[in-house]
Amino acid sequence: MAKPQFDPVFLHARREALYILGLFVFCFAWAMGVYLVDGYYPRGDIPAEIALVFGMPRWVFWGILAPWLFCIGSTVWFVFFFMKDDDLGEADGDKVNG
Amino acid sequence: MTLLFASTGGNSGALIVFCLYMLAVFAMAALSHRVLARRKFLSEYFLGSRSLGVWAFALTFAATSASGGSFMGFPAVVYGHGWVVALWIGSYMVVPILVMGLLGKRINQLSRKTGAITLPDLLRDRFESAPLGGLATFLLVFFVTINLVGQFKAGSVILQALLHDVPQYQAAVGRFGELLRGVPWLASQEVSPGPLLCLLGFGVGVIVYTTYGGFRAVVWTDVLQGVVMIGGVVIMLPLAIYYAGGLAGATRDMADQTPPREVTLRVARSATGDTESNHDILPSGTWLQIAATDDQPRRLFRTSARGHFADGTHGQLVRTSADSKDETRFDIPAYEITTAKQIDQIKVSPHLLDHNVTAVGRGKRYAFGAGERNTYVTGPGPSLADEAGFLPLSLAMSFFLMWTFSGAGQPGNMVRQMAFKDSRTLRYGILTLCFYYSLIYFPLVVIFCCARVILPGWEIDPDRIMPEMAKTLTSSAGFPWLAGLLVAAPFAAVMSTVDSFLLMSSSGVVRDIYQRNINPAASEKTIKRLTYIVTLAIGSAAMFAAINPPKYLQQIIIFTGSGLSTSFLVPVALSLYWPRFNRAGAISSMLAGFVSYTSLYAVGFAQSGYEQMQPLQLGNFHPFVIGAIVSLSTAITVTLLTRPPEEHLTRKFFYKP
Repeated sequence: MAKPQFDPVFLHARREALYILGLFVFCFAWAMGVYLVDGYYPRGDIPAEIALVFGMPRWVFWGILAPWLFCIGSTVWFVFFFMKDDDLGEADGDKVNG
Repeated sequence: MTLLFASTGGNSGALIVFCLYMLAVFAMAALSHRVLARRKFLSEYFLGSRSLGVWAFALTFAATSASGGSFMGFPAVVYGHGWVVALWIGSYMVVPILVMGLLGKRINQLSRKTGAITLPDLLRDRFESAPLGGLATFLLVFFVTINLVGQFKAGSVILQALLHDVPQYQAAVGRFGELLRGVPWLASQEVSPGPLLCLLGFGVGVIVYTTYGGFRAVVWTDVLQGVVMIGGVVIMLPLAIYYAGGLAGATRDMADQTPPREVTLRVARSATGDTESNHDILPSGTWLQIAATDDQPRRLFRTSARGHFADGTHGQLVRTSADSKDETRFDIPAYEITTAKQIDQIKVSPHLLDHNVTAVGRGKRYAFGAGERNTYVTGPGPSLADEAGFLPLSLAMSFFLMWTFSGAGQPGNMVRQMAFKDSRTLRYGILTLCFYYSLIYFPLVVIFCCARVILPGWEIDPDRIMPEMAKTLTSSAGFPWLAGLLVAAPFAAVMSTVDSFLLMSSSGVVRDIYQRNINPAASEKTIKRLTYIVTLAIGSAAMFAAINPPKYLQQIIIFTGSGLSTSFLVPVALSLYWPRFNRAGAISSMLAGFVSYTSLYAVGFAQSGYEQMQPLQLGNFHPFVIGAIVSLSTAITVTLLTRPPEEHLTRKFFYKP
């Protein structure tokens, strides 16, 4: 008997899940990195002047809004070019009554 | 309803918008009830016959996750801590793709393969294990019902803000208060009639349309609510920036702000004034001052409770001996404003200047950020209780992990992933949700940073900042009727969460407990009747529990929301992606997640007191992160130590037929 083959829906879903996890790790590192370097003053040693970009603190712009825009771009790419359309099957009815 | 329409006050336009909205919601429930009559009852009532299209799918997702927490608690958090909250919520940049995309396709496929209608149903069939199904049902009903309590409270708070200066409402509250005096249990709980009336109004409305219309009604109203929510944010954003003097101006003002101080004030009647001119009642939120003297500048305060001279039940009359009270003086909690610009600008009503105000004791400073400039525009942000500040790095990481993975692990979201029509719907759903969340969450941070500048002193009751801001912005702009739409936004958010949680809870009882364990042969008629009764009963129980809930809504929502995901995320994710995963692994990881999570909260409550609701944060990490790690390691260890799953299960769910 031939070796059984994995369901392609499973394989596609797994590949897409890995892309998503990768994107998460990247954005996580980006946001935390900027916070640590430019926005975080745990001992209260805040500089007298905080730089602004587009009216928000610089660390908010570079650490949150910028990766946010990057995420929107990656999501668009994922939806149109990466994620596969699969046949998810039909429900075989109500289990107990059926 | 007629009472509301009859309003002639300044808010009548707002009330009409709001009532029209409610009518639309009920119309949708009626329509979906008609669809219900034509389809197979259970899968239509709880899953909309697996036929959700893109808009319905994306917006029901968005509306359900945007709970009372997002529109009441979240603005309160931004208001209380400033710009650092942008990072607290920052992971919403990846939430749409992660929450829908990580598990969506496989959950949908497996639920079709098994015919599952609920999440416990799916787990039970995936492992052919009744105990696993039972455990999942128990956890689901437990957490969801607790969460409902918080949501009901939010609904009541919003209705109060909308109605509190409408004369007809005040009259109704008066009459209702007289009725309540006859109910001993309520009298002992010190319940005020206003909040209770609002709670009942909100609760009965939601329970009725959810029970009557089922899942399809919930999804349709979610779509309407989703549109209202984004409409609210899009309208408020430019108004908020404009009235705060531009975003840069608002940020600079925030940079100058320093956190207020909690104090107790002693207010005494002026010796000369008669009773009338002394205004016996000081509502919560009254501004008071201690006038400048030669050696001390003016001090400005805002009261956070109602004070009343002649009536000992409100405010705290000063005791002169063990059994007598001084009716000319009372003590009242308040916040002292410490920002120079605000102290200069805010005026106290002239009739209150006669009162003799003194501060009792030195008051309580913020544990982090007191007296610091720039604390509202940097991390970790000011905190009243925590010396490490609002968002130390480890907590920032925790929240980034939590909003995303906790969202992915939410059973409410998983149920919706069982209901979309095809994988194309999923793809476009992700895209829609991505734009939708981006237009909601970051703008909300901006709006409520501006609120710090526009409406100072709301530390007294931060949960009310959203409705207050809506009213202030729209009346300043000359469109008071728009407040109806804006207030409907958080109201919509709460409704759409309550309705879907209510259904999850009742589907757990009807499908997973009754139909699958007690009476598998039950007729459709019996199931139908039971479903209506159970939905009604759970909703009513949660509504009554909300009569006297803890103060911090956001804490309740975080407790139950992430509690659900701690229990469900790992078992569900591994059951979709790991062929070797077996039932022992699934049961033990679910239990391990639940037990570790709730024990961190239990220990934390015991240490910090019930009012604070602070969980124990090992290494400063949120209990969700610890719980998920415990759950994952238990899953892997137990699975590898026990026998592999039966071959027919692996074949059915992982291989080509």
